[in-house]
Parts: sequence; C-alpha cells; structure tokens
Amino acid sequence: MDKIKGTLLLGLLTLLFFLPAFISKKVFLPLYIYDQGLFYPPKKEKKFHSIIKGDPVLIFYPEDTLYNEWLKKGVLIKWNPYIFSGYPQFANGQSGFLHPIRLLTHFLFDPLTARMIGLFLHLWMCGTFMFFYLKALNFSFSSSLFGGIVWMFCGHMMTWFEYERTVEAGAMLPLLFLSYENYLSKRSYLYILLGSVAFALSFYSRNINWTLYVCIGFFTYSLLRAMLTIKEKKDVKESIKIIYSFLIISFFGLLLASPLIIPTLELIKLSTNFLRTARHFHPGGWEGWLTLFSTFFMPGIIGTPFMPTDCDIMGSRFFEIQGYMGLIPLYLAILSLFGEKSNFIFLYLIFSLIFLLTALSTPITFLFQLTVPGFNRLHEGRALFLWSFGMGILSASGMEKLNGIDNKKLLFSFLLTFFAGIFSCTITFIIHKKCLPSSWISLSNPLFSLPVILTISASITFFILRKHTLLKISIITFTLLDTGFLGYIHNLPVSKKLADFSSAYINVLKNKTGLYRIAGLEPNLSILFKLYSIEGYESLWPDYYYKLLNPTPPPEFAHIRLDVFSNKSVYPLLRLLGVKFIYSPLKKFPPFVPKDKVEKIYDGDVSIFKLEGVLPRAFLINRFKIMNEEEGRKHMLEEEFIPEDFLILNEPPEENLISVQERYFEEALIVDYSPHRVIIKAHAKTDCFLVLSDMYYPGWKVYVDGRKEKIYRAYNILRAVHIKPGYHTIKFIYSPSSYKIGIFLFLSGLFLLLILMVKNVI
Amino acid sequence: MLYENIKRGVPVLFFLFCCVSILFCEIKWLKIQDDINTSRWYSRYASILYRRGEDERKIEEMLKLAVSTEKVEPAAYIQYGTLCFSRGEYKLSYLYLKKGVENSPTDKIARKFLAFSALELGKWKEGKMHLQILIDEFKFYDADMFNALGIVYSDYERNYQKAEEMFKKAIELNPSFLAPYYNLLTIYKITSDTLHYHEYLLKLQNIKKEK
Repeated sequence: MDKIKGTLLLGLLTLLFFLPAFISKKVFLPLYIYDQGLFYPPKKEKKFHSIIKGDPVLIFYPEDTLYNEWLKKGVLIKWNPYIFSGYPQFANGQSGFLHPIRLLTHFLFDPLTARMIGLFLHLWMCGTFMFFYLKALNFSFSSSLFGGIVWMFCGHMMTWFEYERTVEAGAMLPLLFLSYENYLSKRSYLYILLGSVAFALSFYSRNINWTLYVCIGFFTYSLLRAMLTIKEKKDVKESIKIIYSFLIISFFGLLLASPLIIPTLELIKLSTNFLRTARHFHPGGWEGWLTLFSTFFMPGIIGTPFMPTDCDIMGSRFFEIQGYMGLIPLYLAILSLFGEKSNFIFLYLIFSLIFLLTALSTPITFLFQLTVPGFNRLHEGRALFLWSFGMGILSASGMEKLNGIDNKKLLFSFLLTFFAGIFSCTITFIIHKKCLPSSWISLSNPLFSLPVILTISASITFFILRKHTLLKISIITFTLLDTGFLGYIHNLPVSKKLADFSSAYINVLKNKTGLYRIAGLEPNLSILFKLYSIEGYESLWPDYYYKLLNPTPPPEFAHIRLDVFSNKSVYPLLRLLGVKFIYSPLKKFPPFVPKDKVEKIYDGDVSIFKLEGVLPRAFLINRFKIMNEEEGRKHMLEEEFIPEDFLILNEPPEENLISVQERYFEEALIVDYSPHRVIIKAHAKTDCFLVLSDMYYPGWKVYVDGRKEKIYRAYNILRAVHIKPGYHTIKFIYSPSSYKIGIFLFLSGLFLLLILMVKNVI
Repeated sequence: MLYENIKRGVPVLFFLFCCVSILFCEIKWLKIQDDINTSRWYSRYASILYRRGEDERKIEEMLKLAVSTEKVEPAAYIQYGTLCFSRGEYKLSYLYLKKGVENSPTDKIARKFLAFSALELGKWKEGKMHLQILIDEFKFYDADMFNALGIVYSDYERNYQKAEEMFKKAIELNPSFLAPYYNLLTIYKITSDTLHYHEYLLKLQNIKKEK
C-alpha cells in the first residue's frame, strides 16, 4: 500500500513540475538556442537558458526527427546521410535508439511529444525507484519519499534535465541497486533479470558518460559492500558472493546492451582521435575546491548562466558540474553522520566522498582514468551525479534520525554545516570579489538572499517544528521549493513554434540542392531540413574523415566545422564532396574559393553562395593511383588537387587493373537514395570505378547487377566499386554485421537468463 | 487554553512565514531573470546586426531596448556605452559604461572606454583610477591608455617626469602611434629639454615619412 501511495505522490509531483508545460503546450527543449547561433533572425520568444544546453537542439532533436520519421515507416535508422557525408548514427553511443520507451513513444507520437513523455516517465521513475530502494532498506515511508524527491530534483538532475540522458540513467541507478540488494537477500534470478535490464537500459540512455558512471557507481557500491561484510561479519564467502552477484548482473547487462555496445565499439576503434585524454574541469587548486564546495550551500554564489558574473569559466561552468542537492537535504545528510553508528551510512559516506574527489580531479580521478576504459574522455566533474545519489540517500537517513537524535547532537551537526557554509561562502566571496558586481552581496540579490531564507527555514524546521506534526511536511515542502525552483528556472518550457524553421532562405536551399551537399550551416541542423551536409557535431567520427576535412583541428573540440572562410585548400574538397551551396549567416564571401567559381544566389538575412564545377555525387572514373592514407591526404590538401584527374585508392584493386593514360570521367545516375540503400544506374564505356561521394564505413555492402562486390576506400573517405564496361545497376546496402552480432548476443543473454529463471523456479 | 492554542499555532505561522518568504524571493528571482533575458536578447541581436555590417540606427534601436529593462545584461550597457563613445556622446557613454563596469568589473575594454569618457568629461581622478586598475590589476597594456595616462600626469598633475615615462611606454607598445610623440614634444618644450625635443622631433618626422 505504501508503495502505491509513494508512487502516486511522486507521480503527482512530476505532474506538477510538468503542468506549466502541459497547459501551455510547451516543450522542455531549449529551442531558443537556434537564435544564438546566428542561424535565423531572432524570433519573438525572448527566453534564454544556459548556453551550455546546445546539445539537445544541435544533436538530439535533429537526430530524433530522423529517427521518428523512419520509425513510423518501420525502419530503425542506423545511417544518417545528412551529416559528415554520411554517418553511422546508431553507433555514436548516445543515440539511445533502442531504448524501449523511446521506441514506443517515437513510434506513436511526434518527436516533441515523444520527448516530453519520455522525460515525464523517467523523472517519475527516478523518484519512484529511489523510493522503492529506500523502502527495501527499511526506511520509513516519509524518509523514502523524501529520498526520492531529493534524487529526482537534485541540482545535477535538474541542470541536465533537458539532455534526457541524466534522468534516464538516474532512473536506472536506484533500480539497479534495488535489484542487486533484492538478489542478495532473496537469491531469485528474477532480480538478476531486473538488474541486468536496468544495467542495459543505462547503456541505452543517451550518453556513454552517465552510463560509465552507473557502471563505476555499481562497482564501487558492491566493492564497498563486500569490504564492509568482511569487516562486520568476518565472512569472506559472503563478500565473494556479493562480488559474484555484481559480476553476474553486469555480465547479463552487457549482453543485453550488446546491440548498442558492439556497433559503438566499431566506431570507437575508427575514432581514435577522440580517445585522447581530456581534462575538462580544472578547479584551480584549493580556491576552486572551496568555490565548488560553497556552491553546495549557495548554488549561484559566483553567478549562474542566467545571471552571469565576470568570473569567467567559473561562472558558467560551475553550474554545469552541479552538486547542489537542496539546503535542507544537505543539513540532513550531515546530520545522518551523527547519532547511532551504522555501516550503511559509512558505506554511503565513502561512496559520496569517492565521487566528490573524482569530480575534483584528484588522484582518484586519475586512478579511474588508468583503470576504466574510456574514462579519460569523460567530464570528471559530472561524477557529481554519483555524489548526489549518495548524498540523497544520506539525507533520507538524516530525516529518519531526526526524531531520535538528542538536542546536543542536532545543534552540533546544524552548526557544523552552517559554519562550513558560512566559511566556504565567505572565502569564495573574497577570492572572486574582483569579478563580482558591486551589488552582489545584498539581500536584494535573490541568488544571495534565497539561501539565507532557506537556512532560516531549516533552523525553524529543526528546532521549532521538530516535535510538531508539520515537521515532515515542512522538510518536504522547503526542499521542493528549493530544488524544484532550481529545476524550474533551468528548464523553462519553450513554445513548440520555435521548432518551425520555415524561412525563405531554407526554401532556396531545399529547392535547389537535390542530392548535392551544403557547407556553412550550423552542424546537424541540416538533418531538420533534409539537406546533405559535409559537417556535423558528434562525439565520435572516423579519423580519416576528421583528418582530411579538419587538418588543423582545435585541440579539445570534438566538432567539425569545415571552415570554408579560412581553409586555403578547401575548394577541391568541396568539389569532390559535391558541395554546391555555401551558407553564410554573416554574409561573408568565401575568400579561398576562386571568385569566378562562386555566385551569390540569395542575399537577405543570410547569404547563400552557389559553387560552380562541383563533381556529381556518383561518377565513373578510370584513372587511379594507389596511395596510403597519409600520402592521399597530403595530395588532397594541396590547392591544385583536381579530383577528376585520377582516383585515389587506399589499397590495390583485387583484379589486375592498370591505370590507363586516357582519362574517362562521367556522371552516374542515382535513382534511389535513402539512408540504408543507394541505387545507381551507370553506363561504363571502359573498365572503371564507380565512386559514390558518401563516407566509407564498415557495414556497407555493394551489389553490381545483383552480384556482391568489394567496396574500396576512395580518396581516403569515399566508397568506390570496380565495374566493367556496359550498363549496370549498382546497389549499396547498409547492413552492419556489428549490429547483427549485438542482436545475437542480446538474444543469447535473454535466453540464458530465462533458462536460469525457470531452473530457479523449479 | 489560549496559551495552548498559541503554542499550537506558532509553528504553523512559522511554517507559513518561511513558505511565503521563499516564494517572494523566488518570484523576485524570476522577475530579474526575465529582465536580464530580454535585455540579453536585444543585446545579442544588436551584435548580430553589427557583425553583419547593418545600419547603425538599427543597432542603436536594439541597444536602446536592451538597456531599457529594469535589470540589464551588463554587455548591453557596455555595447551602448561604446557606441555613444564612438559618436562623441561622452556623457551618455560615461553613464552606461559606468553601469557596465559595476556589473562586469573585469571587462577591460569597458573600463578603458569608461576611463576615456571620464577624461573627456574632465573627471581626471576617476579616469586615472580606472587606467591604473587596468595596468596594475589586470596587467592590460595598451598604447592608447598609456598616452591618456600621460596626459593626466602632464595636464592635470603637472608631473612631467611621470608623463614622459607614460608617453615613452605608449611609444614602446606602438612605435607608429603619433599622439605620444606630439605629447612628448610638448613636455620637452615646457621643460626646455632641447636635446630630447630634437631627438623625438626627428623620430616623429621619420615615422611620418614611413607612413
């Protein structure tokens, strides 16, 4: 009964959070960011959130529109032809295309509605699974409910809410721990299944970053639990069982996540450029540590993305690495450390501290970087995800203790937290005084006055309402007013109208491009207009494409912008890739493209230029030279490079072909072009190669007149096939074996689990 | 009985008082945020127009809207202030840049133009203070600034030695900048330092020839 009551109450709170959006038919998606990208003339809605929230509109929403469109046709999209001259979208590790809720909602609704339903369900699940987990640990109803609320509305969850991935992984973390605990106590394979599903679903959530944190959190939890069992019961066997249970859930979880993991590994193998160690968060010594610590008491102490200060990176990025969990929950979490000693509290204290230290770029961070594959690319500051989880549980534990603890200990813990807050905030003010506005420390500044009022409310709650029936209600109300408000200001719903991009210049492009490509448009927005772009914005993409198109890359930025306005050797590459149009929001004329080859075809809010002499998307060519990748790149980056002179093959052809002197170059006709299939008709007058100017990638197969042939890597990045003289129908099909292997492993895992469950029941 | 009722009612009152205070503060937060958002929107639109080389009147119109909200995005003050400065409207530029610097104390360009505006309005002390902050605290070195500081020393404080030092620094940072040469010549004339006067006159003539 308690569980139903708790679920319904948390559902009601989620509904309250979504109510303004539902009533006004708005959406939690920062579509206003398009206005900041110099993309359109600004629209009338003058709302800005944080500029750090670009990814949901630049990556996820365009991806969703494509996914949604093809899902409705019964196709699970794996290849995206609109970015990077073709891109294995499914394998990017953050598509989340196989997430069951996303599959169902996108099949039934439009992308924006599907997004809202997904967010709603996951936020609800965050609270509910935390509530169930705490109930399983024998917490009272009110403390479990409080723990659920703290977790679902904590600063980290709310700051990243519009990214979907944090709530998706956040919902699975308590479910995983709950299943694990249940398996340890009840030894039923049902819980292995449930735990494996939760583990796998964290992979299907929208980012490898949080997925890895779930894995690391799970590992740390089981290790700490095993160590405590040895300490408490001196029972080594029991602790081995604990580790074994962790391994078995992880094993089955990985099997169930294989359809995503195997294709992603394939792309990772080709994208070594993105695997170099990156340090994202430099707290800047003790000052940085103290500043971060003070944001746990006063989240806007040195500004927020909405009310910025001059504190440079500290101002905006500190909000991104959010560890605030509400002032009253923080007081209660500290309170939980006093009074009756418990191994459970000790476990979660260590758990929280480990991830706080991970977020602060300490030796623990480097230890994870050395031992966990892929951790070196993660934003270590986001480990505060696990800190928030641990502190959420400690705060529920503090609420549980509140009635039983004696006055002295209560006063001591309260004063300890209070002075820690005062101390860190004062030092932070002193450190950053130079960059803070003169009127910053003032009660008229709500960033400053709200934490003060919340502290007064906390003291009234703890000391005046302590024995009153209002105690629990006031704790929950003040927490909701605190973190719920933080969530609200971070995620102001936006009018769906902003997703309407119809404009004169997009129509110009849409009507004229056909299969030709464009450059200069904000990466990934091309998906929305079904325009084929050579650019894109993704966390992984093959080195051969990156190095050719981005020869002088910015050191830490994993996003391609083929700068047609500054790259001297860009023109031949634009011709080769079939880029017929250049979009210029600042109306600049592309300087390194010969003047006689460019024509301005639109001049309004933006300028659009048309390039002459662009190669067709599919062509036949007979002369070829064999060059390795490095030689080929060097040749192609020369200004005098003429692609139609000869084809660059990265490996010798299987048949004994000789590159003849007389040049043969002709356009081939693309008769069908869809994401997973390209059909071309060609009339070859001589032995030659057909080149399709789409990205070369494993998983593509080619059939010439129905017979399977080998695909060659042409010009380092494109696909080519050898054809003999005569009329031919050439069919390129994308059917990745990595995905099939993944599905096979998924089915094997599921089958094995079901057998184990049946055996367990018998 | 009454005491019991009060005893029971006081915690409820405290609870309600806290709720109302928190809500009041949050409504204020929303209002400020909304103002800043609106101001920021106009200010960014003005930047886009400027980068596109659009008509100045259009840019000014956007900036006027950007600074007209109750709580203003600091960048809007600075943009509008620098626009006024470029037009020679020093009273306005001083007013807006001062607000810009108050809200965005580390913005060096804003402080530099605030100092220049102050000097144009005859507020020597304030202008000098901002220039000193830029040089001493922000380690921001600019020939223009040293030249201006030199003028403060020579025209206001009559400290020709310091002024000479500043003009020389300005020349060191930008040897083709003519103003500090003229200023140095004026000082050498006042102090009757003929040797240096001729030296810098020659230098000035050479630079003019090169140009």
